Order: sequence, then structure tokens, then C-alpha cells
Amino acid sequence: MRRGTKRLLVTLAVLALLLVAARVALDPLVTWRTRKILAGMDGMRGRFQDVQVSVHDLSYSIVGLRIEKLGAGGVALPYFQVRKARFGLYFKELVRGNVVAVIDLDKPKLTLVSAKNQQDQGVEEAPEVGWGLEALAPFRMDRVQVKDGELLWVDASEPERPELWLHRIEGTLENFATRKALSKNEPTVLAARGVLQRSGAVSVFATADPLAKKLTFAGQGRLEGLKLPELATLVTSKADVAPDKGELDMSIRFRAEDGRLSGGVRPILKDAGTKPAKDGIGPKLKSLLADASLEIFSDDVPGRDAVATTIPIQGTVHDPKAQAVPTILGILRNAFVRGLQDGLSGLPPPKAKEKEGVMKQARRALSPKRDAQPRAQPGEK
Amino acid sequence: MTRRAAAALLLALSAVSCRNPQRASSPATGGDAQNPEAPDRPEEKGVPPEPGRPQIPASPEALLAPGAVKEIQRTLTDRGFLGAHRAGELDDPTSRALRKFQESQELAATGFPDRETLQKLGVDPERAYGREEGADSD
Repeated sequence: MRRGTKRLLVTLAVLALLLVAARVALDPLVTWRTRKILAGMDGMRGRFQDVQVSVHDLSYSIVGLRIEKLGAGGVALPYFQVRKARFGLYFKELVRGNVVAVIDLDKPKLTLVSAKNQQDQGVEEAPEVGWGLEALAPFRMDRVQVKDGELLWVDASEPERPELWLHRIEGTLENFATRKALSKNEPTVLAARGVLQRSGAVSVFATADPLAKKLTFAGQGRLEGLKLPELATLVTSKADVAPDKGELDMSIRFRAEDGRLSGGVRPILKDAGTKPAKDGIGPKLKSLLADASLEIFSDDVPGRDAVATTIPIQGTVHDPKAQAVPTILGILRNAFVRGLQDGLSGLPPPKAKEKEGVMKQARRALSPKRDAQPRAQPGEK
Repeated sequence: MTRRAAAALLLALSAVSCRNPQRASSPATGGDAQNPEAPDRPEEKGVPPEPGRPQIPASPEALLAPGAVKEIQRTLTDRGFLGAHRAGELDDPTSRALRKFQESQELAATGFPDRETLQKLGVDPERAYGREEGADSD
């Protein structure tokens, strides 16, 4: 009996020692693995300040993670950084035999640079960050949470290097194609809010079928109160005029059923006006024409000059490897660009080659074709 | 000449009336007062449900089961996050209250009642999403 007790105590002591040793070795082991994964990212360089492992809540966190894109000549460009990325497991699901994990990203920032050179960064690379983060966790993700995120898009193909800045992003992505989600027949749900430039309130909601063979999703987005002068650099880089007043609201609804895409974008310009972006008579004329066309198309609500249109979204998603979330984000980006272009499509209006009669102008105005808008008339000789 | 001018005037009037549907409707002038600038209505419901496949709605309201918004509003009111609101609608005050609650719980302040938010509110997510039957399947 006494010998048995002694054996039990020794065994318990050995087990305790092993557990302590394992716990002590855990941090360096995870740090080594994190370094290895970051070093294996093609064309990128990653570093971090600290790695923390918690046995208590089954999580590990990377603090001060910074991933840089290596450009030509070894120049490091900021790509992705996060103050703290926490990877955790749901204990309840673990007990049920499901390894289900969650990622919390605190103050992540993604910088995308579009350039003429295809080797440079582009929006299509955005999913790489997701895959990279997923590689850091040896289990499937079921929930991603973003707090105070930032997305900076720089168009380096233009000399003005216009920027679109989406910040204060708060978002969640739930129910990936994990066993838990599949067994409950739940859709993947994306919900997010943020601020575009300094004034535009953005909200997005979308759901997707994680089981569908072809992409099946639906959603809506909204942009409210974006002050147009904040897009001056972006518009100036494409035209000789810049918006100097007004606001842009935009609504979008979309759905893809078995790969077939449909929906609509509705941009609404309120009290919009322009100014010439460059010196010279040409830009001044364009600005005058733009203001005139905005006046022509504006509604007659007292105290507001709003210009609205609805742009249909149509198409198909053929790529069998396409994933729902990057596709939805791509649709939202394209919708914003198309909405902005269409909202500002009167800047300046197309000019008729020769002076048109009243009948011809009226016929253009009546035409159902979107590109058949009335044209600016050349001046009298 | 006068007949031509009259015809042009008629055409111009027709053009104005044809363009009206594309204009921004204003809450002040009627129209869809709840969501005056929403695109086409058929897109709201998302992808029609099929047997054995998850529901794919285009709006948060369509994802939630009937009565779920009221339950969420009641819980938010009880906790002092929500004041005046439209009962049963995920309106702006409800969305703001959800954001405040999410911030207080260190959750992402999306204003959408996701699973974590519902659990912290004490609302059963399975019931809120209308999946009480499916909850037992695993």
C-alpha cells in the first residue's frame, strides 16, 4: 500500500514536471513556428513583437505583427499590420469534438497599392493576407472579428497617387464551412461598418451558402454622407475637374445564385458642384459644363439638388476556385467605382460634334439607353 | 414652326415624366419612407430558400426569425441601451444601441446582432435565427 502510494506520487510529480516543461517550452515553440510561417510568405517579410500563449482560454496571440511587401530593389512596402491578432478555440465545441476557432484582429491595417506594373501590389492580393493568417492557426476558422481596422488603397498608376481610406472598420465574419456550421445548415454571415475618407459612413451585410458548388450569396451595402471634396484627388486624376461641394450617398444590393450575379447600385449626388482642377480655359469650360449637367439632372426637392440613377449589376462568376468573401468585397469595390463614375458621369457631359436641334436633344433624353444622355451643345459661331 | 415647338415641348414634358422614376425619392415627398434610396426590392430577400440549404438573405432583418428583433430590443431596453424605437424593426436607434452594447462587451461594433452579441445579450442565437430544430442535429 505504502509502495503504491509512493509510485502514484512519483507518477504525479513526473506528470506535473512534464506539464510545467511543456508550458515553458510552448512559448518558444510557438514563436519559432510563427517566425517560420512568416519567413515562408512569398515576396513578403514579416516580423512581430511578441507571441503570447494562454492555456487558460486556449488561445495564442501575436502582438505587433507587421508584414511588408518586398518590391523591386528590395524596397519594403507596408502591406499588413495588426496591433494584436488573437487565435482562440471554442472550448464548448472542442468538448463536442469540433475544432472551431476564432480570430480577433485589433487595429489591423491593410495597404493596397495598384500600379501599372502587374508585379506590384493589387487588390486581388487581399485574400493572401487571409490565407497567411489562416496558416498561422492550425485549425479552421469559424469567426473573424475586426476592431478599429483600416484599409488604404493607393492608385500608384496616377501621378497624383489618389487614395481611398476606409477606417474605423468594425466587422465580423461568422460560420465558415466548418463542421459546426455545416451541421447546423447555417449561412456564412458578413457584417461590417466603417468610415470612408473622413465623412462617409459605410455599412455592409452579406450572407453566403458555404455548401454551394457555385458561388451563392446575397447582400447589401450603404454609403452615406461622403463629402465629395474628399474625392477631389481621385476625380482630378481621371478628369480636369474636381468636386468642390456636395455629398454622395450610395446603396447597393446584390445576389449571386449558382454563380449568376444580379443587383443594382444607386449613387445619389446631393448639391454637387465642381471647380477646374488645372489652369486654363479647357478645365474651366469642363467645370461649367459639369455644373450645368448636374443642374439639368437634379431633382426639384426644395433645399436639395440630388442626382440619382440606378446601375444594374449583372454577370457570372465562372472561376470554380472563387471564394465568396473576396468576391463580395470585389463586388463592393467595383460597385463603388461604378457608382462614383456613373454619379459623376456628367463631369463633363459628352459634347455633341455639331449643334443639335431641340427634337434630337429631346430624343436623346427619351432614349432608354443609359449612354444616350443629352449632350453639351457647341457654342454659336 | 409653332407646331414643331409644341411637339418639342410635348417631348420634353414626356422626357421629364420618364426621368422621374430615376430620381432620388425624398422622405419629404413620400415614396419609400423607410428606405427611400434602396435599390430594386426583389433583391432584398436574397436567394430563394431551397430544401436542405441555408437561407441566404440580403438584409439582417430577413436573417432573423419573426419576433427576434422585438426580443433583442426588449433586452437592450432592459439593460439601458435602447430608448425610443420602432418595435420589431432593426431601425437606426436599435442599431446604435447594439453598437453601444457591443462596444461595452469589447465586441466589434457592427450594429448587427451576430452570434456572440446575442449570446452576451442572453438571447438564444438558435431561436433568434429560427434554427431551434437544427440545433440538435450535431
